[in-house]
Amino acid sequence: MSFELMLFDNFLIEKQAVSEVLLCNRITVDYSLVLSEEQALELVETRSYSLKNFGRIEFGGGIIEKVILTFADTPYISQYRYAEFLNELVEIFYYFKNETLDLMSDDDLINYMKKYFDGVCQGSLDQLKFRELERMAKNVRLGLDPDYNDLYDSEKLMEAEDDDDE
Amino acid sequence: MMNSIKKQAVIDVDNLSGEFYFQSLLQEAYVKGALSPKESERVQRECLKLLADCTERFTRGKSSSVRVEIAQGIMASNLFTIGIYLKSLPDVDAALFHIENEPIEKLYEYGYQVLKRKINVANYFFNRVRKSKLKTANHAYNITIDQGFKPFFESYEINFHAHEIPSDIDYQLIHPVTDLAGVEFVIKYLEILYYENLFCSYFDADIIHEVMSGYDDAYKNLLDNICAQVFQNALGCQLLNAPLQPLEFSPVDLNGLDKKLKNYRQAELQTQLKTAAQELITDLELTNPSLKKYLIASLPKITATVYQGLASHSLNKVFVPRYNPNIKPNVHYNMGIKMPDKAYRALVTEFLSCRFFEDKLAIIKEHIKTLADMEDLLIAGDLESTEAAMVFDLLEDIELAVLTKRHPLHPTIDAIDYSASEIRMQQNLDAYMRALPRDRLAQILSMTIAIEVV
Repeated sequence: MSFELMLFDNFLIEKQAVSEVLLCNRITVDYSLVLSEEQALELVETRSYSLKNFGRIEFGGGIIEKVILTFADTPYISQYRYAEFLNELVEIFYYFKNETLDLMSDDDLINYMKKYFDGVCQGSLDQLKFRELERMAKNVRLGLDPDYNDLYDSEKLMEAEDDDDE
Repeated sequence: MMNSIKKQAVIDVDNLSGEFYFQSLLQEAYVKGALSPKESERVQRECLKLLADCTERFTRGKSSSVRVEIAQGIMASNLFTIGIYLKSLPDVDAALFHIENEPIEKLYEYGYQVLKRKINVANYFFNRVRKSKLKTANHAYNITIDQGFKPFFESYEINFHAHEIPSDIDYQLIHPVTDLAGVEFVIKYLEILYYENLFCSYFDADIIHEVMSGYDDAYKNLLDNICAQVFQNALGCQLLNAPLQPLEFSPVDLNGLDKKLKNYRQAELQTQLKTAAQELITDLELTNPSLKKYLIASLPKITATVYQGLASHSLNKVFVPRYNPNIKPNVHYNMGIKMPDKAYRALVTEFLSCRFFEDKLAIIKEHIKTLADMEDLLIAGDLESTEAAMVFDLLEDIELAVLTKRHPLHPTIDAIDYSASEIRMQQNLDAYMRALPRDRLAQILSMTIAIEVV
């Protein structure tokens, strides 16, 4: 008998998770975003893979529904790459849970992702992952405000110097 | 006549782990068929549910996932807490009955209550240890009692880290505590330490200090057990029918012990020591049954030490004579004035350029007038061990004693503090001393204690 921790990736649990994901379609359909059953299953598998890959374990419903519902109203997604986009978001989420040393709650992290994605990244997942969230994670690790950006500070400083010159 | 029929236990208690009691009990029960596969599956499922609940409490509901190592820690803590409760039951059968008939969550709650009570027990023993603390210079002993348990009583966390031991325990007991974790480990350690303190309290603290100084002058920096040495000395005194309180041995006493014990085989020796221990317990009027049991249990270890001491003719390292480090040396030795640097440099250059050792000896005899210069030359002279031995032959016993005191052979760990030439000189001196007749060596070594180099 083994007491090793394991992920509940058996058929029944996955099926339940898929049906929970599909339930979100009722809300996202208003934004013309719908997942097929196959895509929902793929998303659940991505979650299991990411958890294993990043050395995490999850109990309960998970964060897929939260991600779907939070990002439903973003102007930068269309049905065309919806499933692929969600898969990437789930992976990014778990990666940054580790990178922020679990100091951020699920809701806060998803909200930050949404804020930057819709804001400065203008729909670019690469910019979100490699620039904004990396900086945010570094700030969190250093105990700074997650929004702190020394680049903006130096820009402000340069502007102030320009004003002085004038 | 009524013969009560006792139910044969299916599970062998010896196979159960003290540290991982619950897991080992489940394993054994499953292997022996006392727990059906369906039941064990239920237990696993409920354990995972308990883990999920605890994880949610751990993250305060703010995160649905945690890192695997955190989940493993929480799981280990939960299983430890359940194990604590099961251990508190009368026997293994009762524990199995509870596993089968109670939800795991309930067992965890019961265990949690037991844990809280156990912390009070740990506190009780800690207070007893502090009250019975021995006045000693041993750093490990003092810091373990004064500081070592602070983290435990301040930050032991029974919700998620019950199986951990947040304490800095340096002092070694006669019987190390093994196969226990968390608060159980701390209770056992403190309980044993209390018994050791209790035994030492039958002797004067200053005498114990002298015994330990006889064991090693630098005992305050060692991690060795004090009670073991005191008990050994007390046993030696008991074997000699000498008064126990002084814990002292003269060379004559040691010879007497050697004669008395050397013909025994190890098993016979243990019997002798056991008899002596029982007499000792009676003479000291020890009443605490746990202390008596503890002392008797340490006899096999002590027997092995005594047996080795007899075999290697080093009984004085087992039954150590007392030594008072505060006694001032009664001989003050002046090393003499060193020759001027310029003359010394010329001398060393000439010394090193000599082809034959006879020439080197001639230089020494002609130019070296003080032990200070001799010491410098022995270090700088790059001498082989045979050559060094011939130079040492020129010295008086007191001069050898001074050199031994100033240049004892340091273990490899300290070697970093010395140059290669100094280490070579120490090795040469040590080899020379070892080759001396035993009487002369003893005389020189006794001089080293009485000498103070000025």
